[in-house]
Amino acid sequence: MTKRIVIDPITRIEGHLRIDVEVGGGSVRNAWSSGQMWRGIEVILQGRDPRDAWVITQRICGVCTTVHAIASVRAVENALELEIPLNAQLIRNVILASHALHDHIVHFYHLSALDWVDVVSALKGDPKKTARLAQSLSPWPRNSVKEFKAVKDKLTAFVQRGQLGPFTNGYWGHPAMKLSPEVNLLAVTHYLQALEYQRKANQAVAVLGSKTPNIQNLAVGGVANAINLDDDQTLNMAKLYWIKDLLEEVKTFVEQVYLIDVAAIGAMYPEWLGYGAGVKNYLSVPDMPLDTRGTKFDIPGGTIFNGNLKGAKLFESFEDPYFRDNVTECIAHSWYDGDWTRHPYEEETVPHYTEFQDNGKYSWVKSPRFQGKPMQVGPLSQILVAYASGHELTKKYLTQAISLASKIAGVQLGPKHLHSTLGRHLARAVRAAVLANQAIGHWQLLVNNIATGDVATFNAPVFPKGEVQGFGFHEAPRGTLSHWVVIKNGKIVNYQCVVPTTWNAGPRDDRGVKGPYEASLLGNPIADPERPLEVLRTVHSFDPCLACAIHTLDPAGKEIVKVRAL
Amino acid sequence: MTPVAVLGLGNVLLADDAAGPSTIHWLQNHYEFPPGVSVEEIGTPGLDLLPYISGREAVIIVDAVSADAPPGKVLVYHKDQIAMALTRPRLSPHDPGLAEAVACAELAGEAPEHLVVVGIVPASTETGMGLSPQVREAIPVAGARVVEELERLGHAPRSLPDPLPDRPWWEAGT
Repeated sequence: MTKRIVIDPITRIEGHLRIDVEVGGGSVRNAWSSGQMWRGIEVILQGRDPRDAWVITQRICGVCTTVHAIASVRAVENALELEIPLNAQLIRNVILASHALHDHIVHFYHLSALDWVDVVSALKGDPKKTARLAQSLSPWPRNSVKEFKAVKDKLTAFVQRGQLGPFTNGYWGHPAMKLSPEVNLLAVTHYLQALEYQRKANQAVAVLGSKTPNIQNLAVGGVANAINLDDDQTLNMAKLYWIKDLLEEVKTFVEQVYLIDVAAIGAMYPEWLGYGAGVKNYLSVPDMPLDTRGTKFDIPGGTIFNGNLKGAKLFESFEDPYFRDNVTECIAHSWYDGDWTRHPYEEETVPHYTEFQDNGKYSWVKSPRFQGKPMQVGPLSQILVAYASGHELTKKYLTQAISLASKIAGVQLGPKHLHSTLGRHLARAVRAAVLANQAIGHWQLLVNNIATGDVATFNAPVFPKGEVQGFGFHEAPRGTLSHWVVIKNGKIVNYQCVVPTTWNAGPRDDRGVKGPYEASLLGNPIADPERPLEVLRTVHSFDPCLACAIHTLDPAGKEIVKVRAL
Repeated sequence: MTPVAVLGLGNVLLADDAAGPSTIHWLQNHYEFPPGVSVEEIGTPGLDLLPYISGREAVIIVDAVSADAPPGKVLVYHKDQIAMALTRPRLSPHDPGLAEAVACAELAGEAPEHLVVVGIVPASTETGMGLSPQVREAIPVAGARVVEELERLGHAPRSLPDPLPDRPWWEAGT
């Protein structure tokens, strides 16, 4: 006897991500992932000036703003074969690394931690025991009895005032919650501290980008930051050192808190290093370019098929045909007219809505494929490719995290455990540690380059007569993002964004092969079908980004997400 | 950080969801604000709203709201009227996050004492840049409500003798 569970966000406006699972014998037997909202933002871009595309595309999503801006300028520069000055490349890199740090910290502590951490249980935690445990794991100076006691007191008062609602995810006391009260108290304390450090990462973005959440300093051809070390109005020494201080603080938090917490929580839920693998084809792109053309990168990207790390193949440049020629999107199960599989340059966006059909069309999300195969994207993909190619920083932090988790769990863990729900969290923390180092590294490269007297930040674009096309990729916090643009006589004629969540949340393809969300849910245990916490754990581990395009506040607090067990 | 902030929320690519940002634009073109007040549109930050509200004395949010009222209607909500105790699973970090952001700020001891939402009921939130006629007419009404709130808080802005007429970039044609 199978039972169907539907997790469907319900708003006044059609919205968001819907997950259907069929449960039998206490675990997931079948799954469907559906985007319930049509965006068609690409249509807005047709006929516009390609130099404006980044301003518009960064509005696609209110959280992933910077990443669309970066991918868009890279796509247009690729179409024009336009190099950008080294300063511009490095300024962009510091921005994108800082943005990713902010995003990864928020994702773990403020979205996902509550899937594993029981806030109510933290009320029973003993601050002394918590401090002893925390100090045995990390040199973080704020792991003190005083700090844990202060949070416990705050939390107690908070619960007494009946304000706990938003922190519980509705699932406190769930049988799948297994951490001790002390670990829960530790996690809640770090949840609050994380607020300060994500803000510091965001400040670094704001100083360079003039504004957040929508940065103002990009341009096709470089950046709009003027560099003059002695001028208050430009990028100067004072601002540069402010950024460095912020990045140093974030790096310490990531190394001494975030990475350790994820390894510890992973070790305390070892079964979740076995569930949730799903699609073991991985796609990531190289990023943090070190030169003006994008032929050398500080962090590699490439492909892995069937979990075979030895067969990892890297992308070598912003122009690599191995990426350009192998990406397609399929609409066989998506609410668009037809059942084609096409390259992004050749796509059209004609909606064709039907009901939710298990065996027919059931999502607004398309199914991207690489060489015809579904690919998982995200930090796990990047970390696996980087590890497989011998990337030093990745090896260092991954080894550190795995040894700590092994020690706590009392079993030997290895890279193979990364193919899992908690593996995605662990990889995200490792990526954050790598990027925290590289943000400072690229800051130093920028300062060194300015010291040589080079203050160039912009090369003017020239649009040719006739048609050109280009693609730009960026390894965003949620994974591989690519923008594809066709330009005719200086105007956009086609524009497609293939976003990370499309790779992961896409429906079955024309051959019936499931997408990564769908595949990863199979076999997940379900302790209580009315409260499918386990489904949320796996879906959250991907860090979904579907809901961002629409935003209407509902002050009455009507039910937003409905869980139905059919 | 200024003690008072007026924050416009909404996606400018989705028609009337731009009501919040459009009101901010209108305010910036019609008023000069005292140094303790920042006025900015911040898109749709979801959970990332938190840094914009925490540590402030007063926050006025302007946003499209879902309500049982005709399009273009301007509604004002105070802190205690906004549901603060939602218990629901969230699937993505980008669902509207005001209740969570406020609760989070409360727990951290950094929540604003005054929180007001000036809401505008949308006619359409389909993909596209530009407001419906009802919401366009509502923008100065919403702006005036923001000014009233600022006056009440003792941070009255100064009306500009020659308002700037320009349209925001998201309404400029192709």
